[in-house]
Amino acid sequence: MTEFITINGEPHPWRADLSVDALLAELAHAPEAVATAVNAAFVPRARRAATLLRPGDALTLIQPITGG
Amino acid sequence: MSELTLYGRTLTSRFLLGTAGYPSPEVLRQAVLAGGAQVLTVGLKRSLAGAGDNGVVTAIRATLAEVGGHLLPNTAGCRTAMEAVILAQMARELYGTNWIKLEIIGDEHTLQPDPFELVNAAAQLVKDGFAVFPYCTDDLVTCRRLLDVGCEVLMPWAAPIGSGQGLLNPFALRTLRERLPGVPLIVDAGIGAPSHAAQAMELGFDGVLLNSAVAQAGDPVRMSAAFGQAIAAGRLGFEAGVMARQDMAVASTPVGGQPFLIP
Repeated sequence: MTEFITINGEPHPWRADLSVDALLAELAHAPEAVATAVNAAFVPRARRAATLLRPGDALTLIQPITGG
Repeated sequence: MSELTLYGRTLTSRFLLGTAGYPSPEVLRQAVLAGGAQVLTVGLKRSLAGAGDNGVVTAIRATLAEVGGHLLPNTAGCRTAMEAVILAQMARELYGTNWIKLEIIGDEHTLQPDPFELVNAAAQLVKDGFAVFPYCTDDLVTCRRLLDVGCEVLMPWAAPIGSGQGLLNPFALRTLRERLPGVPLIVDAGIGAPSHAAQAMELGFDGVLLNSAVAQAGDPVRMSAAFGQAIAAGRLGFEAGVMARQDMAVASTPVGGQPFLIP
């Protein structure tokens, strides 16, 4: 049975040893173009490679935008 | 006009401008140049796979470099201190600055800041090394609590965000100025016309932050220029010392005897 994580609320297939770093590369996000959080905890850029995702994890990706 | 120092950064302009809702990045750039804003606010959004921002933020950075300005990322959309703290951490990494406009909304209709979550989040962020610019109401005691936890700048609203109503409660703003001397106070939100900005500056506020009033103007570039002049004029008027009000007429022309004798 396929297990899932969510990326900004959308389901995404999980696999063993999937790091935040590797997932960003698969999604074609430049490393400096997004900020990341897992289960509502900030994951700094330097810790992405060592942060392995587990089934059910909620990954949040944030990018710059205009604002007031 | 004197300079303004915010968290150790000295600015020659007292105009802070939001970057949302302009017809194009070039119009935004022209507006910044025309009005002289040196602090530009930016936001954060959940990103879609592979989607960029069409270079808008890169354009904002280039404009800031032209005017020697500073980015001020915000935590718009947050409802709790926990959300705001995480978003601030993400903003610091994405934008490369420890400045953060702390915005935590407590009511959907008025977009009124939640003072309890705000003080809680500000305390955590100050401990974590952030330069916190809290978007707050004009409540004096809330402002004091924000100072107590280490905020060095306060940004009380004039009216609800995007409403363009101007200074709804000049008494409260005047009270803040009188009770918090020396604290940089920036009116944030609710400004609609250049005269509103001038009024805030004449009260002794240190700066004005606005977005919609320029972005939604018929001609954003000229409106930004108008705000730049109004903010500078209001500040100069404050520094020059506005005369005291009188209830009755006080003749301005010196009268040394009557020129005509009327029987």
